[in-house]
Amino acid sequence: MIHRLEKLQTGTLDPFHFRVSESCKRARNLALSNHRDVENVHSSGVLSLDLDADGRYLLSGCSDGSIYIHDLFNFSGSPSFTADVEQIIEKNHKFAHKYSTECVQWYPQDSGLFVTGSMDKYLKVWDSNRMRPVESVKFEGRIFQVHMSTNAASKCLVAVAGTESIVRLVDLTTGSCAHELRGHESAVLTCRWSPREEFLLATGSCDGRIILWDARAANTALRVLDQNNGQVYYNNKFKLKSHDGGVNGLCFTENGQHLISLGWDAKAKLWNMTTGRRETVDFNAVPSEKRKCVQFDVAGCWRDELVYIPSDGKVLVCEVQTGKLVKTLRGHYNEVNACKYNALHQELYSGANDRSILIWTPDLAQEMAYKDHVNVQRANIGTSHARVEVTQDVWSSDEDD
Amino acid sequence: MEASPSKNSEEHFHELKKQIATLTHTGEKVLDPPVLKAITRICKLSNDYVIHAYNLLMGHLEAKHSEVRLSCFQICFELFKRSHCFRELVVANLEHIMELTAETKPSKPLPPPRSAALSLKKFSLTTIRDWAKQYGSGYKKLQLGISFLRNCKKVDLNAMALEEAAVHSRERELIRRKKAIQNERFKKVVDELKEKQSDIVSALTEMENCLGLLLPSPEDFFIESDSHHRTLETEKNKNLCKTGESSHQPDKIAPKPSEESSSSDSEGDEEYSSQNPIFDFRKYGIINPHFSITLKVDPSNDPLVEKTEENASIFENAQDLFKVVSNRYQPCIVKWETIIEKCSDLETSSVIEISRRVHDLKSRLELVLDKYRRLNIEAFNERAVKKDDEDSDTSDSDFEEVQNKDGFEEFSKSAAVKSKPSGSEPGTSQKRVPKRPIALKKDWSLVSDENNEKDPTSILSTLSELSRKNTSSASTSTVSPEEQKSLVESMTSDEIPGPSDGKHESPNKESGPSDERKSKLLSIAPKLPFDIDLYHWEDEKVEAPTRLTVKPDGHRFWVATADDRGEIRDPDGEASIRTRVIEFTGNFQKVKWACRAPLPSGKLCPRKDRVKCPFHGKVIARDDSGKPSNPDDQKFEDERLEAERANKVPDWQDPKLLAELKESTGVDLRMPDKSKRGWRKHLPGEKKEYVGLTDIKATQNTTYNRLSKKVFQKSSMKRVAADLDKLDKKRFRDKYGDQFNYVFDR
Repeated sequence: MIHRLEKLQTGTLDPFHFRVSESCKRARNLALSNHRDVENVHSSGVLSLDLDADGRYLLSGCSDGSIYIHDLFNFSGSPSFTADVEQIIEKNHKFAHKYSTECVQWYPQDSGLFVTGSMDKYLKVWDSNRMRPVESVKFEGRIFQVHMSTNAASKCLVAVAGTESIVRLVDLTTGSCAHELRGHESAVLTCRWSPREEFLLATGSCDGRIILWDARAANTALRVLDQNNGQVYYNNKFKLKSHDGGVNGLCFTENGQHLISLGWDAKAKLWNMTTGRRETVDFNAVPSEKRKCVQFDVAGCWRDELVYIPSDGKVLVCEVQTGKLVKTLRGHYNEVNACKYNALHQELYSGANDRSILIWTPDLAQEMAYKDHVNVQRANIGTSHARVEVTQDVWSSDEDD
Repeated sequence: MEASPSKNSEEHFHELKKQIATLTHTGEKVLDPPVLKAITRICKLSNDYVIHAYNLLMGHLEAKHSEVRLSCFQICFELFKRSHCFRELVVANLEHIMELTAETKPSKPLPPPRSAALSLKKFSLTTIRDWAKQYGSGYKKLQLGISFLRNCKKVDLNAMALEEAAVHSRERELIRRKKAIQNERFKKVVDELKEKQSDIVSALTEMENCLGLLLPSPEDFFIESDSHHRTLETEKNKNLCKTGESSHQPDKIAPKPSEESSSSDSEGDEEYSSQNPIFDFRKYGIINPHFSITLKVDPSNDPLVEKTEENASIFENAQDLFKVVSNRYQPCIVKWETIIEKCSDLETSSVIEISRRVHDLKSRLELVLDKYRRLNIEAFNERAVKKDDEDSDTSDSDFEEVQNKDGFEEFSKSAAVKSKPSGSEPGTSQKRVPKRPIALKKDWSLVSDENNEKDPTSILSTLSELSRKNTSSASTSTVSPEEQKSLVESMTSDEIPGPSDGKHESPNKESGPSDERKSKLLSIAPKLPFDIDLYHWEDEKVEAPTRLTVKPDGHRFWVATADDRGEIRDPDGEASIRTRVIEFTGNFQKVKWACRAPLPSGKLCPRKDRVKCPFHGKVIARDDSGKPSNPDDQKFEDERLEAERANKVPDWQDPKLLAELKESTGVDLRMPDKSKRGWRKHLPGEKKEYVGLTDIKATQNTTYNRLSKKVFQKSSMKRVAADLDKLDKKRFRDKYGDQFNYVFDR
């Protein structure tokens, strides 16, 4: 790295390249943070996570309807740090969701507003400063996922996927349902706006189909993604499927070139957004079969993209282009529901049914150094020196004979 | 080790697998240290082995048996303490391990047996808590695991610690209370001991003295000769006999008539010694092997000490003391001893001191009681009571010796010389010298012929000196031969001393011997009550009894004729009034012989059967090697052996050979035993692999389950339901079939 820094100073290395490659390297080497924790206040399993634009506030929704905001910034001056909870909407709160908060999302531009979708059929728009909803929209069906376009220039549309087969778009400026997208045959589990194309929406449903929509077009789907790439001809067009079984997870890569989908068939699939065809990539990682939607994330770094796929208690780190399994992150004790990648610090946050949010960090060398430092300090004080040997082998000598 | 690492590692892997499999399937609650050590020794060599061990352990941890899981987790615990690599592996998979050991997933309960499952759960939770406390700083996920347990599974680890502490404190409290109680008891014992010790000791000394007076110990004799009491020395005090002998021999007393019975023996001995006059065993300090002495002491019936007027008070005193000591003091001391035994974990010095004291007292008491019991005073008392009755009858008899008859009989039985007690002058007491004919055997005698009385070094001289001392104080101990003769005669007439019930006639009564015999036999003969068979005893012709039948309509008057009143003969006929059933009330005869047929092991069959051994047929006489000693039996024996040979497994089915084959090829060639039930299901090859484990299937295999499997089988249910339906239908048709509106219902 020092070598590359030198190159950067001499100008032989493009700063952008340097940044991308470094962040990519860091994103590969995530491990459970030893010194940083998220305060454990969740009263039930964490279903959804989101990070605000500054990477400071972590928003999380729980399966009992409560909502938490943690402040991740460390002003303590010591690497050992627990992110305290900033705001809580408890289960019994006046404005809290009655049933589980399935999806939470910050307003892409700032941390003054966020939206939540819940099983109690309400979409709520919250003012985060006053911590009360400014708008709540009731739907016919229960809501599985809401998504706000991160790239919305003119209008801020919220796509709402729920037990209805209709995907509805809510205009935040009017606070009402602006548009209905009909095309799915059964409950829609997940919906995602493209980070590049302002009006491109992808939705995945229980009927096993991923449909691409143009929000401007009146009532027509752009395309249904075909897992066989058109090589098999169907008489009945409803037999055209993206996954065998429902689609419960969608995520665009950062550049919007590719879409990654998870299905109940325990497969992850990669779709090319320019051609609309399935790429022949076999993800070695097998995500867990799960009924409801899974929130997962992609570490966006130009060509070497990585995807973090929750699988039971583990998080699998895979290369997007090759499907190779890079690493398995073990730390949760129950199913992981959501992953959120922090592109600024190359960190990963994961929330699971075991009521905890874990921070996965690449700063292992720093942590080790800090640990040594602490140990040295302890030794200087002379309080204890046995604690240093915690991770050592302790074979007793009488095992020799 | 370096020479062939690959081969060695193969071996090690194999060894590891074997050891872990055995250790996890013992079913014990505690691991076997040597096996565990073998595992850790291999694991220490390299991390590869640790990983291998981890994989094996995870495999075993999945077993559907809590005992296996418990042992498995205990091994994990041991390895976790030692290896960092193992710790990493365990921590990475902790959620799974917790699922398997701590029941964190409700859908996956721990397998049976329940007790092992509970202890496993507790053990794993405490272990994980301790791990987190100890290694949490190094392994982040451990801490997360604790918070997971606390937050999601609501396992209150603090409460667990509290519970442990509570259990500990409860135990401590229990121990403290127990100690206090013990202390109290102990104090009580000490007080009681203080109170009673003097009493007990005095009673014991008193009793000892009484007994000493009644029966002086041999030492007393040697020291002082004037024993005031008539004592009878049993064979135990042989030296006393010797003194008697030695006192007689030099005086050259003529052989007494009573010795005649044993004279043949002594003659034989003399013959023997004359046969080899050269070799004297005694001279060379060799015990002569040709002589054996059988002393038959039967103190059970006879009191060893006679009661006379002058020692009567001592007797009574001793009896009273015995009662007091055995009834009051002995149970008391036994009680103290048990209490002190329980208190033995109390503070040391005083307890030991007290227990020693109590023990001394007890041993002393037991000694005295034992002595007393051996004196057999009780028997004497019984006898005395009986004699009192007889005395009233024979008081006018002119035989004055009657009083001492008991004693006489004693000696006549043991063929000892009885010196006639001088009843007229009881003041001059005499010491009786029992003379045993066997004791006269020359070679046995301590006094050899070579011993000269003049020789002061010989034993004879000392003995003679002692005897001189004795005889000087005592009057003549000899009895006139006439008197002896008469006594012996009377003895021979009374061949069999009366049975132990003591109802024998006095030999001095000159009653007819036949009457006496008859009365004796009559007293022994069994008596039966008068009954029907005796009633008809002398009737030559007896009609079989008849019975009146009772008509079922049971009318007394409305009977057609008297002939109708049928009398039928008793089904047993005459026998019913001729026979009588007498139940056998004999004694159980123990079987004195064993089967002793030769076994394949070379031993003889030790079974004791009366008639027939279940393995070797009829029990017959056999010699030392187990062969039948009767030639007739030999034939049967041969037949039996032939049949046995025919039943034996053929050579190619030799179990040893088959086991070897199975070892080498892995193929079990054993034939199923078709004579047994269920041979199809349980091939002999599948033996229970792990004996130590609790059999889970056995608990499921109840009669209820087996029956319900058959009863609730689908086919049988169908059949039964169809039958029931049919019955219903039939009943319905019978009931309503004739009504017009049900006619068309089929």
